[in-house]
Amino acid sequence: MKYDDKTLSAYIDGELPKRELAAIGADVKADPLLRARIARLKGADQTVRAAYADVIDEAPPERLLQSFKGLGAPRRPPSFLARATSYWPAALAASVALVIGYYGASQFQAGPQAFAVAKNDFRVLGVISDGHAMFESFETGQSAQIYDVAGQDALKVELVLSFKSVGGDFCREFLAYRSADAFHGVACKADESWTVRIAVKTPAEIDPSVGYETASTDLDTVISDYVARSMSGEALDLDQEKAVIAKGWK
Amino acid sequence: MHQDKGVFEAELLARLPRLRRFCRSLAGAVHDADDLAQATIERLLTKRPPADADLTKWMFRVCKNIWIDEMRARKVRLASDIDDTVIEAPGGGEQGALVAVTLQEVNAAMAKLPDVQRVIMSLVAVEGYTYKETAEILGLPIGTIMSRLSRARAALAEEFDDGQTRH
Repeated sequence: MKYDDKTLSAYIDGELPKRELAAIGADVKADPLLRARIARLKGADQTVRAAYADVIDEAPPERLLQSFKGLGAPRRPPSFLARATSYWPAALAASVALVIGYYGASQFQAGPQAFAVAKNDFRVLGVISDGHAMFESFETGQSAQIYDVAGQDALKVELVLSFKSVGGDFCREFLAYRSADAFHGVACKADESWTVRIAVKTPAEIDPSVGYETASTDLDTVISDYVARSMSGEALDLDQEKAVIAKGWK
Repeated sequence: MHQDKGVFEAELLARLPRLRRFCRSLAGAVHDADDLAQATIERLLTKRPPADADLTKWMFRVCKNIWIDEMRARKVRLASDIDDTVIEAPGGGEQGALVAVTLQEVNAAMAKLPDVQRVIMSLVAVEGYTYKETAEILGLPIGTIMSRLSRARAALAEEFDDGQTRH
């Protein structure tokens, strides 16, 4: 075979110089043996990934949560851990169909299955990277505005506020909702993607003229508490936010 | 040290699903994986990362160290939770070979890999890290990541092919 597994493996991951990728790509088109070998190597990845994919949706066992409680910070609301468990995305069964961010952000994994639509499933997890339906809203949307998510029927995203975290990343508090299903969370920009740091399902009270209205649940205080603890200084005002958007959140 | 304690705990809690998935891909059995996750959490809560550290990468590094240095040394039981759930990987055709194996077989195939290959496979294939990021997490050269990952993929492909012939 013209290429060894090391080269083909790097080709699968897009981890070769562009010229080399193009050259191998042309050879792959013309060579069924190469295609078969690549399919086998990719198949190994996909099998391993599929094997452990569901773990992300499992509610963590109590003993792991107890690890946090045992050393918990006194400032944290006492109900935080219990609520986080109750509202872990795995436990959600909302009647909408969208997966927001799923696997990692690498080029190879950003294929269709990375954002596969699943009936009765609404997850807010992982990484929102370029090409994702919500990426543009996070990247260029202004706070206090509501955006329709392209290609996702009736799904709206509202950017609540933007801030710089104590760790130096820019973060955005957001609401994503459709019908009576809403998620309230925080995503932060890291490298070229937005990573959802925390998100909870929260009852939606939606007025079409004004968008989502906070239902004043304890869950919303989980997010507001998280924002308050994470924020360095004040939230960005609109002019500051425009300036940061223009710089690509750098 | 990494930021305010309360914020740090919330940040770590938000990463718990990914930590559990990583642990499962390393340890295989559910109970062992959660032991590993618990040890990682306790280590991180006791000794927080430096303020400028990427928490997710740091978390995986700590987890990997505990697994290789401590848990593997104690010979944690592998595949103690028998799981015959058939996994059908997405894709097929040009996207990748469609394989149907059990979770137990995946755990067994992963367990046959050398430790570092298994960690690399988990970080790249499961967690989606680039070679550069994986190299940073493990403190290894990118060339080492490339070669060991390709060996891991080839070995797993072989294992899964064998498994398919048994089904």
